[in-house]
Amino acid sequence: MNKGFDRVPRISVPDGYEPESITVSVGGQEVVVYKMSLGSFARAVREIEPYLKELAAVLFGTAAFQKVMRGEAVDSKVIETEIKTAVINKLAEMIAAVPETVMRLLACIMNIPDEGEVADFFWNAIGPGDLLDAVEKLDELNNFAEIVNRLVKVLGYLGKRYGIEIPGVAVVEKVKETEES
Amino acid sequence: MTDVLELLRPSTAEITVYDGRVEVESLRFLDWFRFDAILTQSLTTFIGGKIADGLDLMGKAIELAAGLSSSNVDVCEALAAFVVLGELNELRYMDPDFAAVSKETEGVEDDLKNAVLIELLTTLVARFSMNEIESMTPEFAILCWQRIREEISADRDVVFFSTEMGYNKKWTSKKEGKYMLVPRSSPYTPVWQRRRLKKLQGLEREEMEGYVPKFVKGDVGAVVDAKTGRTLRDMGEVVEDE
Repeated sequence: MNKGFDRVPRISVPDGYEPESITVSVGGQEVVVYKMSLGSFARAVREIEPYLKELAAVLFGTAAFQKVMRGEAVDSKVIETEIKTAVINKLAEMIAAVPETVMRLLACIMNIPDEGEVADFFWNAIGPGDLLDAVEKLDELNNFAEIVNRLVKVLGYLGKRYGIEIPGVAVVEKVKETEES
Repeated sequence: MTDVLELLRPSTAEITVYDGRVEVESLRFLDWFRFDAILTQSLTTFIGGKIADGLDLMGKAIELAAGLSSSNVDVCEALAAFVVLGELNELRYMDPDFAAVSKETEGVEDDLKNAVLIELLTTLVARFSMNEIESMTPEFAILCWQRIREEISADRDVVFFSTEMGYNKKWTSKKEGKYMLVPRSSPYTPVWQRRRLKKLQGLEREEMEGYVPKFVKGDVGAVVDAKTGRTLRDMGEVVEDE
């Protein structure tokens, strides 16, 4: 009698488990926002992907980036000023130009579905004051810097596994090193 | 049909999800093949700048390897789990022949990779039940595939599960022709490692060739091999004591 091993058991959400959450004030109402899931993060990234590509183009265009990619030594101050400034400037420019995208992005982060009453409420009720408060609280909840760090780790892992260098990963790691030191 | 139970226990690793640590086993052959394909695809997608699509694929990989749904697993935990699951499902054993095939298919269309899988499966189904193939670890499936190919190409019977494969055969019922395969060591000692060792030993033997040990008179009668009764006189040239 042949006995195969059982297939990998599925991991289900434990009873009573609730992801971390915060309460955000939107249009005078308190809204509970849960920590982002991988799915909602992917949706959020999809919203801003065209802008991320623009950002990447800015990043790739800097002389410091080119140097890091060639494996040349780059002073941490140069990275700080050249790469980060270019990226942050571009980011600010994009945010100013695309408020709707920012709203959609927030909706994704807050796990608010695209359609239905909740979305209507979100689009109509959120004001500029709410926005700033929400962004701050959402960052506190989700720790976006940590997400980026882990994503870089994932890309680094994939690259190593297949012996390919993914453009940008080395630079992000270098920037991280600079920040940590 | 060969009645075989592979005894090599799959590797395990721990991932942190839902605020707790959960043990996950490495995938069996067919799921591993799917997992590997998803990983390759996600790498291509990320390189192509489609980050969201890459993240979706990552979700699929996590779902396949651990049964976690991307819609209810925390993003940070999921990203960390992805790396752990990837490392857990790395091939620990890679025969040079399979490495050569993998190299051929690297970076080419999925069709070719599928062709390798189909070839592998059609080879294995001649000897194993589908249930057995499903439950094999990827290394074991590849080893069996290579062994059968070797047998076919040499047009001769080879000892199918020789100890060269890192297994000892343990009969469970000789009458019924049933046996189990017990790994000699875990993780496997890869064939290439053993070949290298053999080669090194061979080199040492070559260096020793022509060397005739010299023994002083008086010692020559000493038996050095209890089994054969060989003495020093049989092994070397006897010289006079100075």
